[in-house]
This record gives sequence, C-alpha cells and structure tokens, in this order.
Amino acid sequence: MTDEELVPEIHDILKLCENTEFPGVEGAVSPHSNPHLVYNYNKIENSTFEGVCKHHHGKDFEIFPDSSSLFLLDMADNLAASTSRVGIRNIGTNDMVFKLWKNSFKKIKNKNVYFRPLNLDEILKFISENSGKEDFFEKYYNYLIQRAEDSTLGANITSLYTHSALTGKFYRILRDAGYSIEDELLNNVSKEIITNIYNEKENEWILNVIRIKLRFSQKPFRVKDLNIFRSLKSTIEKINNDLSDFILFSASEELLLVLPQNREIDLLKQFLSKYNFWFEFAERSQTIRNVHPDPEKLNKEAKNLKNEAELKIKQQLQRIPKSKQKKAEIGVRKSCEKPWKKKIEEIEKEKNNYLMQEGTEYIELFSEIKPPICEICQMAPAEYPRIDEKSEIKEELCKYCQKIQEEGESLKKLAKWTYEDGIRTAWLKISIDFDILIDALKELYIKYLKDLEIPNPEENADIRFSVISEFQWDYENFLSLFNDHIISEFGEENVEQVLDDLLCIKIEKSNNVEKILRIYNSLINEYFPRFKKTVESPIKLVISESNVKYPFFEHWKYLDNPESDIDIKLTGKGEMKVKLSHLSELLNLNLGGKTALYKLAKMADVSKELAYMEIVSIEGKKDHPDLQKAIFKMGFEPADILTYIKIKSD
Amino acid sequence: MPKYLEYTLKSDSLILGERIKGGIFRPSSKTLRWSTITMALRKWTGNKKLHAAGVLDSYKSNYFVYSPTERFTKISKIPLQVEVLNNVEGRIYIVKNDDLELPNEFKIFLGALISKGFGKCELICNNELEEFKIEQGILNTRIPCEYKEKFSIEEVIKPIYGYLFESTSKTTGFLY
Repeated sequence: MTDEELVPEIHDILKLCENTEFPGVEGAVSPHSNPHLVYNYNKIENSTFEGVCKHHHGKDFEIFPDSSSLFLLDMADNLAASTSRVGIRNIGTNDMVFKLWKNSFKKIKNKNVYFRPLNLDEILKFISENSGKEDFFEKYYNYLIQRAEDSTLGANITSLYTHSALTGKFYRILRDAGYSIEDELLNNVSKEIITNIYNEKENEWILNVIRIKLRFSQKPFRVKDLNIFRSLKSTIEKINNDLSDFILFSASEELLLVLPQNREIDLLKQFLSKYNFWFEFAERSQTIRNVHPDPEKLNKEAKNLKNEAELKIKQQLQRIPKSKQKKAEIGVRKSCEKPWKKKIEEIEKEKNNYLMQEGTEYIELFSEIKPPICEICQMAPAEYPRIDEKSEIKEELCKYCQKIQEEGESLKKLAKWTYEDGIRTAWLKISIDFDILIDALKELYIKYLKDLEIPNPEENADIRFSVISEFQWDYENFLSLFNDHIISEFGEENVEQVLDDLLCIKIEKSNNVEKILRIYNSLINEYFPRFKKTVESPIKLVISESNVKYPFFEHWKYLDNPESDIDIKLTGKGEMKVKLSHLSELLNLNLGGKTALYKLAKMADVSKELAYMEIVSIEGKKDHPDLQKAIFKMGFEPADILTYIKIKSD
Repeated sequence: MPKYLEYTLKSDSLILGERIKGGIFRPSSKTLRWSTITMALRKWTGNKKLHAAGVLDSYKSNYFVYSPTERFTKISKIPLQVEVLNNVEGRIYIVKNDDLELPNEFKIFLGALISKGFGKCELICNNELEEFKIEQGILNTRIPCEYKEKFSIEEVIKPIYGYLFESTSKTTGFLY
C-alpha cells in the first residue's frame, strides 16, 4: 500500500450507509460502527478501503490502524472532529447538522432524524473504482452537507463535508511534517499497543497554528489607487490555491494556517513580495492533543482573568472603610491577581521557549530612504517617475506601487461616476472579527449543551477547527448571496464590486441605505439568526455614504475599523451604531409621516438637542410613535436615531 | 524611569496635515505625533532635548476650502479641501529633563495654516507623572523607534512602520 493511493477525504463514507445485515449478525447494524464486518464482507484491495475500515482505535472497534498512513489518518480524523471525542456523553443521536449560528434547539428538540441514504454495495463499488476526492465531493455533496459528522447530540455541530475535507488537510499536514511510525511497530500488534503509541505521539508531535492579518502601506485615494484591493484579492487567492492544505480559515484580509514544525511563516513572503504587503501574526506551537484554533487563546484568558481580578478587587475594597482602603489594597490585589499572574507566567514560559510569538513581518523595510520617497506608500524609494495622462501631474512611485498602477484601472464604473456631478455612493464592507467569532461560537455551543442538559457545558464546549471551517462555508454563501441581492436591487450598472465583501453602490438618496439594511437583515435571518442572541456579532457591516468625490481613504479608515455590529456614516450628516439584535426592530419602527420626519431631520441639522426635545415632547410622541421606544427601551443614542431619521427622510 | 508632565491641550481649530498623495483633499491626522508636538514645543522653549507625544481625546471634523494664490501672477491654483479638527481636546506628555522649565499654562501654535488663523492651542498642566504602571496596549500616537525608551515603551510587539523626514546636516537636505 502506498500513501499516494489513500484518499483520506473518503474515510468516513460509511457514515452515509444505511444499517445493513451481515452474515452471522442479528439484525441490521451500522457499517461505520462495525467496520470489521465490512472488511470481512467484501475486501477491496486498495488503500482507501483500508482507510475506511481501519481509522479508529477506540474500544468499540475490532480492526484498527496497522500502517503508518492509517495511523496518520486516525490522527487527522481526530484533529478534524467536531469534539474531542471524550467530552460529550451519548444521550441520543441526530444525523442532521445542528448549526450553532442557525438552528434553534426548540425546533429540533423532538426530532430524531436518521440520514443514511446509501447502501453498502454502492459504496463498495465507488471505493473499488479508485475514486478521488473530487469524485467523492461531486457525487455525494448533497448528502455530505446534510449529514452530521458525529450524530451524538451535542457533537452533531459539523457536517460530514467539512469533516472530510478537513481530515484530508490534516492528513497531508502530518505527512508534510514528516511524522510517521515504522510499519513494523504497528503490524500484528494489539489495540492497546496502538493506543499507547497514539497517546505518546499525540503528546509529542507539534503543529503551529498561525493567524495572519494582511496589511498594505498604500493610502488609496483615487480610483486607480484602489487597484491595491485587486492585488490583495489575487494574493489571497494565490495563497489559498498554493497552500490550500495549510489554510483552515480565510477571509479577505485574514488567514488561519496550520503549519508543520518544519515550515516557517516566512513561506508566505514569496506571495507578498510582489506588492510589498506586510502582515501581523500570532503563532503558537502546540502538541496535537492540545491544538486549539486560536493562537491567542492564552492572552485572551489572561485578559479575562485580569478583568475578573479588577472586579474582585473593587468589590472587596468597597467592603473596607475608606480610610483603610489604600493600606489594604496591596494585600487584596495580591490575592485577587493570583490566577492572572499564574496565566502570565504560563505565557512567559511559552514565549521563552519560542512556543508562542506575535509580531509584524515586513517584506522590505529600508533602514533609511534617500529622496524621493514613493508618494503612494511612503515605504520605499521612488524609482519610477511618471506623468499622469489625465491630470498631467508628475508622480514619483516605487517599484511596488508602479506595479499596482500598471495593472490598469479595474473599477471602470466607479471611475466613470467620479467624472459626473452630484453622484452619491455608499461604500459598504462586511467583515469577520475572528476573536469575537470564537467567543460567539463558544457562547452558542454552551447554550446548546445546556439545552441538552449535558453536564459541564463550559468545559465541553470546545471550539475546534471543524466548527470554524463549517462556519466559513456558510459565510461564503452568505456573502455571495448578499452580492446577488444588492445587484438585483440596485442594478449591475450601479454596483462596483471591489472585493467579495467590499462594494460601492451608486445611490440616489440616503434612504437607499435602508434597502441595504433590509437585504442584510433578511440574509442574517436566513444564515446567522443566532448571532442576534450573542453578546456581540462576529459579522460586522459598515456603510459609509458620501458624494462620489469624497476621498476613498477617509471611507476606508471607517470601513476598516468597525466599532459596533453595524456602523453607518452619512458624511457631513451623522453616524449611527446598531446592535445586530436591534436591527429587525429598528427597521420595523413606526417613525411617523415623511413630512414630520423631514422636519425633525432639519431640526437635528440645526441643533441635536432641539430635535431630542421634540422627540420626547407630547407632540413628538404623537408624530413619531416609536421614537421614544427606540431611545428608552432599545437603548439607541439620540444621535444614532437622529442619523436614522436623516436616512429615512431623504 | 523617565518622568512626565501631563498637559491638557485645547484648541478651537487645528490642522495636523497627513502627507498623502491624492489630488485636492488634505486629511488631518487624528493623533498628536511626536514630530508635531515635539518640534512645536522645542521652538517655543528653545530646548533642543525636549521630547513629547500626545493623543486627541475629542474633536469634530470639518472641512476648509483653501486656494493658494501665486503672489506675482495673482492666479489661484486648484482649491484644496483641508480637514480641520474643531473643539479639540487632548493630552500631551512631555518627558521631564533638568533643563526644562514650563509654566502651568501657556499657548503655542501647532500644525498647518497657522497664518490663516488655525493651530492656536492652550496647554494647561494637569499632573506630574512619576509613578505609573506599564501595560500592554495599542499605541495611540506615533513615536520614532529610537525614542521609544523615552516614553517607557519596553517592547514593540507589532510595529507599524513609516518614515520620518530628518535632516542629515544643516545644508545637505533630508533623509527619510
């Protein structure tokens, strides 16, 4: 058997198989839980079949890995699992995926879905044809996305599709790392020995988890400067393409990589050197047993412990008379800060052992630059003087910015709008906050386990790579559908798509912003309704509206730094921040007639205080029935709600 | 450990120009960079060893259209739109040194278009910082790497680099 023949993605195909009768066995049983029966029923001479039958070493399995590649497959399978296999006790099964960000427990509570649509002979025929992973995903896609990887209630949070793809990645990462066991050590030995070797290697073998945020030094002001985004997109696509096995999450500027120890983060530089992109990174080396998708987990834990300690200190000091507080503070602080200091020591120890690193990597950073300096990025010597044909302005560019500009004006619609008068545009950006994503998924997972009455939900709700990958599929579908809906609402000729999550829309009036919000809200309800229940939504929407001639970089500073779930800025008119949980209510508010709203908006232009007085007056309550509710019950700032009035009244 | 003087800065209108390429729009920096405040204070005090940096706590953005005129031909060039910060409140931290003597309250001019009436700032001494705790966080101003110790920055974890103008000598111009 050779490694090349084994298709790790197919290893769990028996999970799609209906319960089957085997000779000598009473009743129909699950082939996946009884691989030895399948193995003896019809032995196929290929490595994938071996992988399908021998990738477990748990107590219920009679056949187990007996070669190095099957051993790696077993390990990859566990790395790609939705749970750590030991935490969730079996209280029932459901074959359908419970999406933490979508499904409500109430809706699935009394359903016990059984989804195993294939028969064994069909599966064996597929394996015997030496099918590849592409054949597997193409043929069974519709089944794989519905079937949960683990049917156990509480563990059924990722699809077989995500798990299969991820197992393939981890298998190749482990192989790339050069991890292997001599076949002789695994051949003809008992399951106990295999288990011992597994436990030993799980605590010995290391993987590096790295989070990368790509950055650029260019300050894009004009349309042609926006080529930088096309360069960013092509760079990310190339990295995703060439390093696909190592990338476990990818957004338009952010990547999560798992690298074997023998590969350095520097391998990214070859992709970034073309445009001199730089990046921030956080990296953590962890044993396979403890590997966690967030390399900054310890830092976050330390931050939480620090906050808890400060709260405790405050509470304890309040119980002491004021005159004695200063003296008592040292002792109180010492005892309350103990867990935080312990965590800091743990971090320091990891840092000193080079197991944890964070920093910034630049491709080319000059110690000094002799004039002229590049006018666009101001980070390299300008070696390419050129005269802009349209404006006849002389520009001094570096080799990187020259390359970006050479790639032509890609945003033709936007370029055309800038030569017209009175055009208004709304820039909008959707982004993912990875830190909040991990917290929100954990919060939803704890809630799910609590609903199932599974003990120790906080400890068991571990967010692993598979959940994040599962989320990514839905996020990509959400973005794609959002783009489609925006184009169908505003017309293709009025939408400039810079990135999948960065759009510029030619709008007629500010109240078109409300249309964008309605599209966003309906898709959030369809894809991520549960994020309306979490403390903060990991998906952020920023809309910045202005005259088309307003410099893009000013928009970008706003778009790139979301402060709330939804940030809206009407340049020169006002800003507003909206919590995702309030969006539906906001859109359904009865704000009163258009004339009254227009009056209120004009009043707010003169004085916000005056407009506020109007809202809270008896007459205001009559004219704008729900405005007081928005401020006093939903908690909107008066300034936010006045901006919304300006949107509605335009 | 260095000691600092904390001053509150108040200004009605301030233009802290960013050096950018981009037609006619000139945005303002939203922080008080080492170079801006240090050079203004050095000019005011005559103390060449002075170092200071600051942050802006609150301001309101407005725009001012300005058209530079050629003095001899009296022809105006393309008008520039300049971002102006109004009702600015901020804090500046001045590194204490033996030669430095500053009044509790004084006025300086800062930033661009001073001749047009912008940049008048009032500084009021708040506090002398002798003891403070160093914590990890995101730097809210811009300081040259070589002076980071003066501001008690022990380690830069994720730097964001940019280049500063610095004269090589009194006559040979500038390096970045």
